[in-house]
Amino acid sequence: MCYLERVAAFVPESTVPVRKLGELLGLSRGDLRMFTRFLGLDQVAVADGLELGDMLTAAGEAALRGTDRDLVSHLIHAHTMQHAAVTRPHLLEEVRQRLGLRHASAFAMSHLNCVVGLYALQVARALLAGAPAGEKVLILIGDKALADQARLIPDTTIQGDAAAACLVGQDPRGDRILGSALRVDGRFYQCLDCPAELLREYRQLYPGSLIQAMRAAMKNASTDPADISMILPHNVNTWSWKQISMIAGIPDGQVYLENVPRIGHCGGCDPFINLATARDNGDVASGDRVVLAAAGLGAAFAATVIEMGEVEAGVREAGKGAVKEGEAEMGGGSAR
Amino acid sequence: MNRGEIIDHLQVSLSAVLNREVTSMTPQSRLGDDLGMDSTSVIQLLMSLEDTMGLEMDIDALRPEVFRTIGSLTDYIEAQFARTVAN
Repeated sequence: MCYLERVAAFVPESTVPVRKLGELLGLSRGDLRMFTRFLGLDQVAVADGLELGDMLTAAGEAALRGTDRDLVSHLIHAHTMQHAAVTRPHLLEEVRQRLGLRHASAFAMSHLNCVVGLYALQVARALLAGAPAGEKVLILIGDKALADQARLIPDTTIQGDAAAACLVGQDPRGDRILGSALRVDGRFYQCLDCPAELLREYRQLYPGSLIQAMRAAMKNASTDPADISMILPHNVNTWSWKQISMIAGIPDGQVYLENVPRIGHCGGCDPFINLATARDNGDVASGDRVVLAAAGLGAAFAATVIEMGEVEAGVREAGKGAVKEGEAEMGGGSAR
Repeated sequence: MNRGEIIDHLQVSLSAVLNREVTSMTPQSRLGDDLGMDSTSVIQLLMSLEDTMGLEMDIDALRPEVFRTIGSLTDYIEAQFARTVAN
């Protein structure tokens, strides 16, 4: 049995209004109206003056607090964009050293776009299958846009910068992973470069496919939808989640959308940031069953069901410590 | 604005959003299956209707049944139009 022993997130304190980003991205007034009024975006987290390695390290430190780091056997960097950081060719090795993970093998993964964080969770579970007691895997999820143009997914979302960390192990005080599902439909591998007809088909099947993934994860977790307290989604926009809620009959307020207008869509980090925020705000509690859910261009749909563990082993403790570190080391940003 | 005028507006806006002439729509026409609309084109349609009809939609009041057919969407717009006039 695997647990999320700790989850922490690092979100830059600096945000930029969508309207201002719109000028940089050449968006029309109609585009801005769509993003702000209909899609529910407002502010986007932008890591000015911070490097990706700094954000990953801050999140990782928060998740590792109080842990014997020699027990971490693997360090995974899950990044949404395929080119993580051209300015730092040894990014992950530097992060591994800064985190003091002497015995961890480090590797990065991408190619499932915004689903990559949840997919890394499945990889971590596989790595820990049959592993010696106490062994752990640290997943770092995070991106920093290399150019503002990379933030834009037309008519859909604007992406922010952030990092999240998830320490996966066998401590039963953590959040128990009950089940998961991943569905990939390779017909859409060209992502935004798909022919128009195929893109339209993707948009039409998107809600149903994500609902199917969530239901498959619940089935895999032997959990009835009625027993789910909260859905912690990717922050692509509020409109699509309202649509999904309507189709699936998800009660109002059960999809956690608080962060959409505050930070935008931060790639594969979103479900983990939302887990941290929801726990910090008392919106989820020990014993609650929640679904982490995301969709990625390409197209991939993923969900994981967890049962919330004790607060002491989870986000709140890690997050509080990391706020100080984030501010002291980098002069901006907060880990949750 | 009466119901017939609303349907006329809808037809014009639908044609513009879908980039093709929409001629054979009925109150029973389904937005997704019959007209091929997706979530993005629905937003574009609502924006077009706001612009051409001087409406401001109550986004939070939008329910799934609104987008099932041309008839249900017309009902919603009629109610929104009445609300706008009343305000």
